[in-house]
Amino acid sequence: MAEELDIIDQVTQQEYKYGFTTNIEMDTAPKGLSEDIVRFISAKKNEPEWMLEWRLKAYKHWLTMDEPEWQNFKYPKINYQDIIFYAAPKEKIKLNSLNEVDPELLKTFEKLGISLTEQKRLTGVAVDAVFDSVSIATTFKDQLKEKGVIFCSISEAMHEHPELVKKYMGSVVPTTDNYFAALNSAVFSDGSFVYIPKGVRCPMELSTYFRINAENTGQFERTLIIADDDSYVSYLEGCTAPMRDEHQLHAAIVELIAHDNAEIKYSTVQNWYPGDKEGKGGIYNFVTKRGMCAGVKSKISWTQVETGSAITWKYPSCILKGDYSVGEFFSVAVTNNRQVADTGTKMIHIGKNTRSRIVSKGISAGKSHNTYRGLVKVNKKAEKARNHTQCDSMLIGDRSGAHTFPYIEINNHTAQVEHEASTSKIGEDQIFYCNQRGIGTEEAIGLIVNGFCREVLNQLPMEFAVEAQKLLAVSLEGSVG
Amino acid sequence: MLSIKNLKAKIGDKEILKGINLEVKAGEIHAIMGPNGAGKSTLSAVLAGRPDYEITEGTVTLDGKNLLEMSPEDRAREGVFLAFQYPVEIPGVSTTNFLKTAVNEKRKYLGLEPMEATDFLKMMREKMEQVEMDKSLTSRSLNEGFSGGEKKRNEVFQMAMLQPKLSILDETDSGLDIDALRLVSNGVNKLRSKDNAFVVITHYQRLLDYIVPDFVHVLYKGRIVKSGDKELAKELEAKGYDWIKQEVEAAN
Amino acid sequence: MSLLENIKQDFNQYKEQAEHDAFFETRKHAFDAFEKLGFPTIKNEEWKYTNLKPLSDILFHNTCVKSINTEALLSGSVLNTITANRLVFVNGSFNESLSNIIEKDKSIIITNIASARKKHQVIFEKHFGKYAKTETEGLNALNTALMSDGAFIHVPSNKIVEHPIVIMNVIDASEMNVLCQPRNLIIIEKQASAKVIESYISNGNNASFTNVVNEIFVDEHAQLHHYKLQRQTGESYQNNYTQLYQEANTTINQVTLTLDGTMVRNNLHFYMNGENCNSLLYGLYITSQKNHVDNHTRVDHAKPNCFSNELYKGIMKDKSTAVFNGKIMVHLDAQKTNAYQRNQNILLSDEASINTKPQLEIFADDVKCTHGATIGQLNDEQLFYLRSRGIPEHEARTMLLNAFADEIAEMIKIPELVALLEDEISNKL
Repeated sequence: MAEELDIIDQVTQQEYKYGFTTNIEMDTAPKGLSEDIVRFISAKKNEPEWMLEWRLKAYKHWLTMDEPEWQNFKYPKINYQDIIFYAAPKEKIKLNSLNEVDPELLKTFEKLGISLTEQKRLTGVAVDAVFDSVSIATTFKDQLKEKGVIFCSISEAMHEHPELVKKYMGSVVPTTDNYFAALNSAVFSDGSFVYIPKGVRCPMELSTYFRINAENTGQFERTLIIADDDSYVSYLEGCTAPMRDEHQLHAAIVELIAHDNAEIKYSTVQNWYPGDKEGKGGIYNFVTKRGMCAGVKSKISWTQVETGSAITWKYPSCILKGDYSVGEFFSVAVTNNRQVADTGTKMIHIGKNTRSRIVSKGISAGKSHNTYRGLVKVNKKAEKARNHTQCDSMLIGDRSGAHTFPYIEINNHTAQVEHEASTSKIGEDQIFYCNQRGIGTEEAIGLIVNGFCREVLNQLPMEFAVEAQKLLAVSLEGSVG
Repeated sequence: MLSIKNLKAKIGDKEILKGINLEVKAGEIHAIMGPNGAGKSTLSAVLAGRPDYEITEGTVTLDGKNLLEMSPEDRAREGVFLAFQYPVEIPGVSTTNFLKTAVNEKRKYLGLEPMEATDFLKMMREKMEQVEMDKSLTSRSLNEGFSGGEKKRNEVFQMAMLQPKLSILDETDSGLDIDALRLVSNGVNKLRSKDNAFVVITHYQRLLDYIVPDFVHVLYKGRIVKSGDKELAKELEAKGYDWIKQEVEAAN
Repeated sequence: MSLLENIKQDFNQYKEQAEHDAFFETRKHAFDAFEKLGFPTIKNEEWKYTNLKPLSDILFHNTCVKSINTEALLSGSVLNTITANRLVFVNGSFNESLSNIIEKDKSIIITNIASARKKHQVIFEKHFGKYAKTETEGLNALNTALMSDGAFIHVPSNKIVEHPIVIMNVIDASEMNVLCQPRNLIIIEKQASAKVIESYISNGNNASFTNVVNEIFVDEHAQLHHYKLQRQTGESYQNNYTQLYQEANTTINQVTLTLDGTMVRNNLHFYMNGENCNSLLYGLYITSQKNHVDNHTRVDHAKPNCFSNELYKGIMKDKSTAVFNGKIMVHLDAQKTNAYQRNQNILLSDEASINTKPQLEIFADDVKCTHGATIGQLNDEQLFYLRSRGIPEHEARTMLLNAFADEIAEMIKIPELVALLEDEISNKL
């Protein structure tokens, strides 16, 4: 509680504070997309032949696909020939320790509040930092290794743990899944890989920090997390980008696999550059995230706080295959100015006695639009499935929109599914009440919005909860005249 | 302390306050009574700075400072406290968190450092005891799911925490049973000092058995039409408001 | 010959005979739109769960088949027992001898479209085709182009129709497959009031496809009760599109009961074009065998201070499927809107399914909207309570199901009809 107030105190800037750029020598691919570019990326990463084949297959399939049109917003057609699909800081030698990382890069991450150096180890969070297309550094590797936990970049995993990558990559999000997933599968540059062995409770939070820096580039990373029987891991991801006038595409894939009795908690604080007040610039955040509760009593829990991006378009999902498995989705999406969010989840009940819970809080201000779209599907053989969905929207100002599109498909008569939704505005009465106690209007809104989102924010690990609360207040600044 | 001179206010096209004059000195308790629709709640709202009302004439000063020029939050920071008739619910925001924000905002305004968390919690404990506030209420969301009595006690507890100069109680007795009324009144009486003042707005005399006023004013059709001591309240209770109404109509 | 070819042939036939007046132009225009749009497919988001494909291979006859047993059919209907004005249509054509108008006030018009088009041309032209969209709705366009006949109801200002008006549609598919396209136009002028019952029953073992369009206009301070009873048996397909257009201070109470039919799609669209409107939408669907019922509702809050309340309930048996898709659309500046929506479902069999999509689209900030959907079974505690009082399980179940369904039937404000419908519901269950 005390932190919450401090945070609001600290919030003074009006502008996106991560908007700086880093000047660093880059190794980039030529603009555009072709089979040659796919080969180029694979060669750059010195990939095994099977990986190249995998990419090419995805690329060929992508060519046959059309961009989707069912979403609740429009965006200008993306010219894929105008995007740079690979950009990496120039790297002379293979890095052996953090001391060899370009100091300019270390400084960038310091500025973002992400320390890759030793002294910040006290925080107890292991970080994998991804800068444009490549993973820069992964901290705490050795400590994790002792427990048998693998936490490294996906490029590294391909070489060192090919059997795991081969077995799991694309097993939850097939290369043919959707337009942007196919694109990612063809051109993904890097990302994080996590494997938690049987019976291990990962001793610390794992975290990836994504940073887009280069101009005209797209970012296509993928994350793959496997929790073996009886294991547990909590994983966090954060993202920022410089302020640029043109839109940049971020099309990532996240795949989670939880085996018997395993639990994966995946938290996101997404703060890509949202564009300016008139909607110029900003990131198109088109991401496919899906978790497979493969084992009995496995559990996957998604928590997301979405405040950034010009357009956020993603549905972190759970396939509840194992009997008694549990899927959860907790989401806060804040849109202001001209931002758009079309987000939600899919809960696919396949196993018996599976349970899912959805809590979604959407806040729209300015001229923004916030859509919740979610699917709860109970298959024929999913006996005794349970779902509860709570989906609330809050509107600030009379030029924003809130939309709710839940899809509920039930094919088993023992299912119990409940969906509740409500829409409200911040009451003038509530603001006046705060004013009367000496709290100014902006702080009052911060307080009320944080209260509205409490249920979701409580799901975040402490470190991220603090950042998330700050973000909520910052993203809504200037929303009440 | 509080000086109201010829205050006129309207909402939309409707004039509600038609020239209020009132002087409140430190250490005093003033009761404002009157029939429904007399403008009692409007007066409290105008003093606190609710934006729905337009002030058309008059002045209001607190220790010489012009209140009417201040935003609602600055009035609060200067020491005006309104105990609402209907306190709003703010889901997800705990009373503790809310009060910490409010207390520190006031300190910031007065040029003081924010309170240390431990000091703040200590103060919470003391004040809770003082006004007989149930501890569990402070960890719950502000006013959410509170009973009428709990809401009013929470208002008095906030008053204790914020230590205002001038407290305005807007029909604090409404919706309270006799036990709750006693608890709330005890709280208020404990907060009385020679340095602060209270304006108690009520329709009924019974609250004034517990919070004994120095002065009683009768508000009718936007004006104070009669002033006296606590005996006036008793007279009103016995005779009803019709008596005042007739007197006013006769004078016109 | 496919259904599509069949339809084209029908329109060409009509084109040759028709007088080339304004009415013809409207229909020609609609047919062009239909040719462009065609039948909706499951790729269309609004038709995701309802597939019309099975229809395309059936050869339908768009002719008015004389029915032998209409009278017998009618007498068996619960609607026959109530005192009401009756308009009877057999396979889409008006049957004057079976119809009966008891309304004494002759300024209230209760007749068929074909005659109203001539006798009440001004009113007809003012309203016909003005509410139901043809540019985006293929099946509306088809109806407009090839409609058979239907009811025309005009209640002038300040008039109250004393007895309910029953629009009885009899679909007789005993001789051949039947395609029929009823079209009803209901106009309630200022401060007027009426109760209208739109009913469908059928006969015979051949297939029928009934494609209905209702246009309903309710002017300021007027009130309308509109009840739709779907009880077609056999291989019957129905698409029903009802557009209700409300001016300020009006109240519409709409109840849709779907008790039978191979495939029924109800599209109900309320448009509130003035302040202080009330729209009440209630629905009950009981599905069995392999039947499929799809209720699509949309409420457009276009002006401030309006209220809508929607409750749809479903009970699915056997291998049946049901769809509910409710959309509440609060337009920009429609402040102080209160909109409520609930959909409750009970699945009674292993092989039944339900797809529900309660949607909100909100463009104004000062609104109170809630929606919800539940899918579940009978309440075990209630069941146990009844059994502990000595009621056998089977009976206890039926009792609870009836209670669940009757809540909707009771929204029909014709008491003598409610009791009869409740019996019918009870039989279904």
